[in-house]
Amino acid sequence: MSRPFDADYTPPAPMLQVQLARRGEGPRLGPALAFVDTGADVTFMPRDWLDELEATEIDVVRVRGIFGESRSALLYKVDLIVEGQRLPNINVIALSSSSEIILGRNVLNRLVLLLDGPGQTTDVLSQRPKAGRLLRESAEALAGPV
Amino acid sequence: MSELVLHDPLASEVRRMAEIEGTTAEQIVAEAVRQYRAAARERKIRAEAEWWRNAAPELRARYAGQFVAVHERQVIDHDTDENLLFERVQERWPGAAVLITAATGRPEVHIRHPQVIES
Repeated sequence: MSRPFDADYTPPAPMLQVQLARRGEGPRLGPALAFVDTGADVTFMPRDWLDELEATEIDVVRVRGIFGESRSALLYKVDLIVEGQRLPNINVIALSSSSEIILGRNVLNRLVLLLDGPGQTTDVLSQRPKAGRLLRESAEALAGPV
Repeated sequence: MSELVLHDPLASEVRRMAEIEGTTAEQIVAEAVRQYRAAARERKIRAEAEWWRNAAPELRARYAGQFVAVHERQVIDHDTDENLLFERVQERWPGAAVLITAATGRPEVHIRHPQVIES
């Protein structure tokens, strides 16, 4: 299913729907939209969500932003359901100061994503499309309408 | 069903907060317990992490290249696979706040996510 970009961001941002679950249980929180962020090493969640889930804390990590500031944060393990696909034992960091969910590369690297900028949609694919089909579609897109 | 009796001034304070928040006294207590639990677990994980960071170098070196599980200032298990270790700890110590960390420390996490805000 194609998930539209969120136009509340400027420019519009790719999002995916997520739900949160305790280990081996059904979804308890969500669905909510999460920001697709290949620039984040790890996934971030609002602390309220993790407390409500009674998620399992496992460690303390240092988090550094692009301007060099750094802070200590708790690391948790949860089961994350992304567009219906369950990913068990995912490390997520608690964000106390934000209600945003940020999907970092520890999650994104497990998915085959199609990010359609001009169409402003994101899809999670079951497998990588064949290279020939991708090239043909790219060439058609570059040629534009006849 | 069991009962817990609260005495004044705590009982009055809980009732007053429930009235202000438009909820029940039971929900106020439940939320307070949830917050207490989260804070207590965070304190424990931070204390275990501090202990492991300051542990003897020879102890840390013994688990180089692995993940360790630390509970009450003791290494209770270790594995090269973090998730296998987590699963075992959950089975053997259900509900306990147990540190699971890379023996030589986790790398710093980076977010390259600047956002343009109106000035």
